[in-house]
Amino acid sequence: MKMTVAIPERIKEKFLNEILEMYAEGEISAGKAAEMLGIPRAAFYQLLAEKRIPLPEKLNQSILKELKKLETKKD
Amino acid sequence: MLKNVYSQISITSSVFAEVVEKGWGLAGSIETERAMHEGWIKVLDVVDKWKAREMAVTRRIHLANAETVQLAREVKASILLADEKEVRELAAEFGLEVRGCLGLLAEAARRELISVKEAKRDAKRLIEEGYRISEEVLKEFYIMLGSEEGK
Repeated sequence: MKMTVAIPERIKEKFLNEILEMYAEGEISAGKAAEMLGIPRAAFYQLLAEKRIPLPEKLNQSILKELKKLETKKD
Repeated sequence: MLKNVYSQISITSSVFAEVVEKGWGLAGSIETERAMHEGWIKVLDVVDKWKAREMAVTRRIHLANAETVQLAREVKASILLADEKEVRELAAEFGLEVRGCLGLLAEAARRELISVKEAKRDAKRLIEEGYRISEEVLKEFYIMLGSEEGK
């Protein structure tokens, strides 16, 4: 028998916001967040776009480092 | 564009499942499928599955992410393409060179595979599509492109 649990919309919304916040704070990865929400990773990125969630600071720093390294790299 | 920057790309079957099977119709799914038909993206499996599992457990990271790093080590990849923090951190420990979306654009512009104008346009699109980098990072990206313009 298939069980369905009726979860009120406001709780779903709260759960979603909580996960987005955890992602932005760098507590969980995008893959983990997508898994917790039960959606594909690409759909999670769409959510980030819609809600205008910034990339986690650690990731920003990592990208910055990558660009700087690339800049000094000789071809 | 990716095809012109790197001639051969390998992905794990977890990545294939995530992008193409589960993510069918979403960003990148059709492109990945096509690239596989054309043969420049290949699905490879990690040989040392235990090593990947061990890294995932001890670091509390996703198995798929650990597998990606392990595959890069096994095929001795020159570059590991990743925007996931877990992958980038682990890759750095093994001395693997990592490239994210923005770094990829910067490299393509640098090698003159795309114009500076195209690189800026694509970066703007990335931001709109959820890759919301900080002002600081965007500024650095523009500086890099600017130095290319002067050549």
